[in-house]
Amino acid sequence: MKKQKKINRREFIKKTAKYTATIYATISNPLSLMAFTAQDREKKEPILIVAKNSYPADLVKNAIKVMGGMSRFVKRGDMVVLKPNFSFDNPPEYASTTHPDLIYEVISMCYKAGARKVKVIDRTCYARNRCLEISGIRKAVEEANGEITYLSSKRFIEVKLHRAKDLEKISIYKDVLTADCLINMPIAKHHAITELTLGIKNWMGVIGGDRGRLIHPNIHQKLADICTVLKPNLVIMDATRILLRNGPSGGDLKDVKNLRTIVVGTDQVAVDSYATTFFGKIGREIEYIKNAYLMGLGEIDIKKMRIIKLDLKG
Amino acid sequence: MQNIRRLSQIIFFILFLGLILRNVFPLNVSIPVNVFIYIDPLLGISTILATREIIGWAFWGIISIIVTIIAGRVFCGWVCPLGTLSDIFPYFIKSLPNINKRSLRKYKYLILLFIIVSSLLSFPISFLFDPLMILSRSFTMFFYPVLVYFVNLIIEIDLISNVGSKIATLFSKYAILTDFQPKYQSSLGLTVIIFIILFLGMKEVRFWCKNLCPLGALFALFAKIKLLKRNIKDNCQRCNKCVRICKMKSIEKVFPLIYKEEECILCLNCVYECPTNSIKHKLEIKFAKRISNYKNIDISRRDLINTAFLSFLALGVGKTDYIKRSQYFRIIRPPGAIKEEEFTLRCIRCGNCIKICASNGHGLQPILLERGWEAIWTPKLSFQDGYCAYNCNLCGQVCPTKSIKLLSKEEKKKLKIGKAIINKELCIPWKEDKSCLVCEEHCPLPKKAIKFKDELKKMPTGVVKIRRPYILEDICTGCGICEYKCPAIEGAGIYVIPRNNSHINNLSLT
Repeated sequence: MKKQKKINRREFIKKTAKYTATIYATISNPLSLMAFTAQDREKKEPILIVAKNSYPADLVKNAIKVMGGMSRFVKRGDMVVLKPNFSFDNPPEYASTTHPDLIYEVISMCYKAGARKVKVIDRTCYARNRCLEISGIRKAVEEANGEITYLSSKRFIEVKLHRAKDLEKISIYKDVLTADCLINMPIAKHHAITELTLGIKNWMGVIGGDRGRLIHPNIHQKLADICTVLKPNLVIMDATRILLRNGPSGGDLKDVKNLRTIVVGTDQVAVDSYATTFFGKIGREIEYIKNAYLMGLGEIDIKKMRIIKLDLKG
Repeated sequence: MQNIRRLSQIIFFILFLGLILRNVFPLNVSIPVNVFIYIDPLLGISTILATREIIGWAFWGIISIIVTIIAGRVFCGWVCPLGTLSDIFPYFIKSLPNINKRSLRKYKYLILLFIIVSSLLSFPISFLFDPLMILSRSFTMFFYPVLVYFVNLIIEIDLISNVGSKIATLFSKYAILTDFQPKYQSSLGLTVIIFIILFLGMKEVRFWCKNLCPLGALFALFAKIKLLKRNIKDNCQRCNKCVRICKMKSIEKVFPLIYKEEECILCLNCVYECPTNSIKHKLEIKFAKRISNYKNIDISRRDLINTAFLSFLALGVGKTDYIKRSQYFRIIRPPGAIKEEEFTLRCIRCGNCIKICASNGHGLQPILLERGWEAIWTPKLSFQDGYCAYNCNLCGQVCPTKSIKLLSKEEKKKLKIGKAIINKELCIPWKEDKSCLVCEEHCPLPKKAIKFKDELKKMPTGVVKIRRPYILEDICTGCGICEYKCPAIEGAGIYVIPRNNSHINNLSLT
């Protein structure tokens, strides 16, 4: 016989209010539905998989296996959107862009899990064709049968940020908002403005408008605000090689450190917070991560995370 | 045979435009993008005369001349893309007027003379009148941006977004679409001549080819002694149909035969429209006799003297117009550009460097009169609409005249064409005490040329840390991406000024 879960009056009222609000939000702005449902996801201890000592495809295969398999995130017929970083025109070993082998493997896993289509999106800093060719990502995506989405200026949708402290609204690419499964694939780098650029900063690549004018003033709060509407189903942090100095563009191999590591998780604040340790820092030292934590968008304290380390000894 | 001619025209037209379209990063073309420029004898001759040097690529023009000596102005009728446009365009107009003012024929020879004398006087104005350059420039800087605009428009119609994204993927694969809308100053100004040519073509078929084209005139001089002769059989009924149908009106009379070989572009209308099939073109190897026919070109001595005089006048205009010193010194030439006097002589304003830059940084723009009439439409770097991509050396790869030297990637990265300067009245962290640093973020140098000082400011909300940028002059290369990306609204808080202008040291501007 199943044990009945007891609901007390307070919880009942809370839940009803929440669902009513959700329904109202859905009617008034379908796309902010994502913001409301996402926050219920990770109330428990966030789980992080840290895989190291192998080549990128092997790392991600094993990490996802431990996470419960890609089919936990990608359902049959899903439209998957990947957000890697191909904003710069350096070859992969310069650690300015996400590793192409990682992207190839993730696309393949999504298709194996039954995805209808995998789209790869980034609004690049440098000229797009240069970045795609030189970073090796065009080849990887084409070989994996993914689609490099051509960004049309008309498909940026303005989203109102209700829970944000600074940003009132932001325009986000439509395909990102309507994705069935959204996977963030940042690369861990140094950045002069925000100290580090990790997963949360990677969202700047799906934002429309004049990012220089809209986001850079008070960027540390605005990045946290963006997280109130952009919540990935999965974050795969590329730390196979990291850029220690002169980011985010890089260009000197001496600034690159080969770590052969990736971090996989569903709590984007937690993943970023853990990744700061690769640079000898902690999450609280990075202002935008701290701001996101203070807004309740994820966990910052490593001791409160469940970290599963995989040493693939390759 | 006529269909073969039309096919040839279409193939060369598509090849011409295709080479321009594929003149993009990463430059994966099996045919050199400059092939049409190399075989153009007018450009070769005027460059040799102006620079007084043996120009290597100019010798490819001999191929065109040999073909012309054999078969006449085949280039005009079978190859020239502007000729193809002139032939296609009448299909869009209802009736075709049959005007033919013979007296205007001489002007193409006079324009050719004007170009030759000007080139001898170091003012090679061939770029202005050469049909391939006219079309190349206009396509790169006017029609191509319009094409990109409309393709983007189609792609962005949400209703057919599936078809749209397929088109986008296809164009992206062949790198035909740029990331962002290309825009060029004076783009309409340098295209207007095409509209004039087509408009004149509405008044008279192939008006430009008959009366104005200097390349046609050059070919006409050699076509006079061509080996391909026009034979008329005895069963000719003198119906004069060939006279009416000839595109170039080169057959003036059937009996007695007056036929201007130098105007015949081998369109073969006469051969195929003759009701009795009396006309044939046959190759005969004898041309000594034809030299006497040179008398038939109707130019008077007065015309020649007037034209030569106009060349001198043009030289005067070109070299003595008012140039603002401040404008002059602000020009930053493409990286690898040779010294200025040579640059203005050699640059044929083909637009190749500008085209390929559009897919990398979109920094190159044609100048207007900043350096005088003689430098009109030569390329400069403008950081308002783009920048010079750091890892790129493509402009030097596609310049046909080596006005922009081919630099290796390492040489190019070390080259300092300018340096950045921060305007503390406009730069956001300096003036408004707010954080920014977009310039530093985008600086492409492996060791950044922009550094920052942290300052603590007391604000009503508390103590705020502001990062204020400054430039490391010794390493800044002047690529301009900082100026391009600067978000300051009233004006660029950081901008690039030229340096290493050693190529103009020899000029005195007093």
